[in-house]
Amino acid sequence: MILSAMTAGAIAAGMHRWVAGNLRSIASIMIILVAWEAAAWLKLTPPLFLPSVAAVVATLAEVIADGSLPLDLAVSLYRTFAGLALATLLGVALGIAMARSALMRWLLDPLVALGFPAPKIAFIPIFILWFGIESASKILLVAFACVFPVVIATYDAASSVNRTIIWSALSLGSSRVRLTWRIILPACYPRIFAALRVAVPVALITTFTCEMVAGGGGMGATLMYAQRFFESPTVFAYIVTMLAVGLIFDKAMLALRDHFPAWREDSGR
Amino acid sequence: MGATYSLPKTALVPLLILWFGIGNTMAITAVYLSALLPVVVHTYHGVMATPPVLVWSAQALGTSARKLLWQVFLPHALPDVFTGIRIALGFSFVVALSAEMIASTAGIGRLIFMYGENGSYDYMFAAVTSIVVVAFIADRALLLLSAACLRWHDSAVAMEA
Repeated sequence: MILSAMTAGAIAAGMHRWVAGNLRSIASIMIILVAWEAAAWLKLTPPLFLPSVAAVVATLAEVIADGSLPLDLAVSLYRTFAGLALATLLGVALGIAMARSALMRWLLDPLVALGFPAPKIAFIPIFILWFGIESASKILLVAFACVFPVVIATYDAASSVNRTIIWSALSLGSSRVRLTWRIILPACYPRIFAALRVAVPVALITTFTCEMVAGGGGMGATLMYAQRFFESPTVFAYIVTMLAVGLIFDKAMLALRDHFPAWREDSGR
Repeated sequence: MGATYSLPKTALVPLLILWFGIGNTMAITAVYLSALLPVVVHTYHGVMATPPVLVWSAQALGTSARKLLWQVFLPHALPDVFTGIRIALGFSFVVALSAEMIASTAGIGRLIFMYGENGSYDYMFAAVTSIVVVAFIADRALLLLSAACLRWHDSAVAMEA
């Protein structure tokens, strides 16, 4: 009982600090919400175009309670993070390989240059053709979209590792494998992490867009479904959820970075 | 502003269909919304990072507020503005294509999807290849443009040296 009161107190204190720190953000969001509610309440537009905030919140509670939103969210997040994990593994490996081997650089540099600006979403039909309509095609497309920023950041970081450190390690008898694991990879952490912070929204956007275009369950598919049946409150509820998810993961990445000082951009410089 | 940065702008497509119907207005609005944010954010950072010394010097030499904007803040932010535009360019292609794939009567996104649905995969691959090439050329053209506009900047001097 005392413990729970204490945690409640701590949570309240944390909330208070958070509110104080984000007062301006909250104010600007409140203004938008009030304007939205006012526009709906004054019937400036038909409720089909702009449902009231209250209706959206009610729908949100409803789709959470009947389990459809959590299920869609779980499916979408699984695709997002499976794709992101693939992209990270592959991207870091390729980036370091490009930095360490002239052959890999010669082989991959034009591909990265061509692939980086390409709109990956155009590949959806191809990925569906190759990997089917279910999760596999979406996960691989997310990986495809996210791998380029990771490769570029890792390559940049790995090729700018301080020469003296590499020479010292080599002169002390480090093997090439050991050099990669103990020197080059840790030196790339800050840049890799910065690239991942860019890649998380890209992964979310790609997943949602894939689902919107190709269907097959998840947040995007339900969003399109609701739109086709003109269920505007559901459309808004899903958009608000997507917004919140993007925001939460960005904050989580920042918190993660503060937790591991070695991942900071300015560490060890 | 910060809250909407990580929102997938394509999620707004259903909403925009509701508001504007299917067609160019919907697609252009979606692209506009997605391209606006990176430009605003990068311009903001570029202007905010203007060294106070530059501002003070300009003011000490009697520069008016309007001139300060055009001759100090904007030139200083220009490299960041171009970075923002480059990111926005990538977003624009993605959003335009997905808007066309989700709901449209014309456009290369629609075409790619139509070929895919009809099983004419050779045409589909040709369409995807062409969009990759176009995006690549657009990106390179923007880089050339920004290099031309930033000839006076330190980064250009460093490249020539």
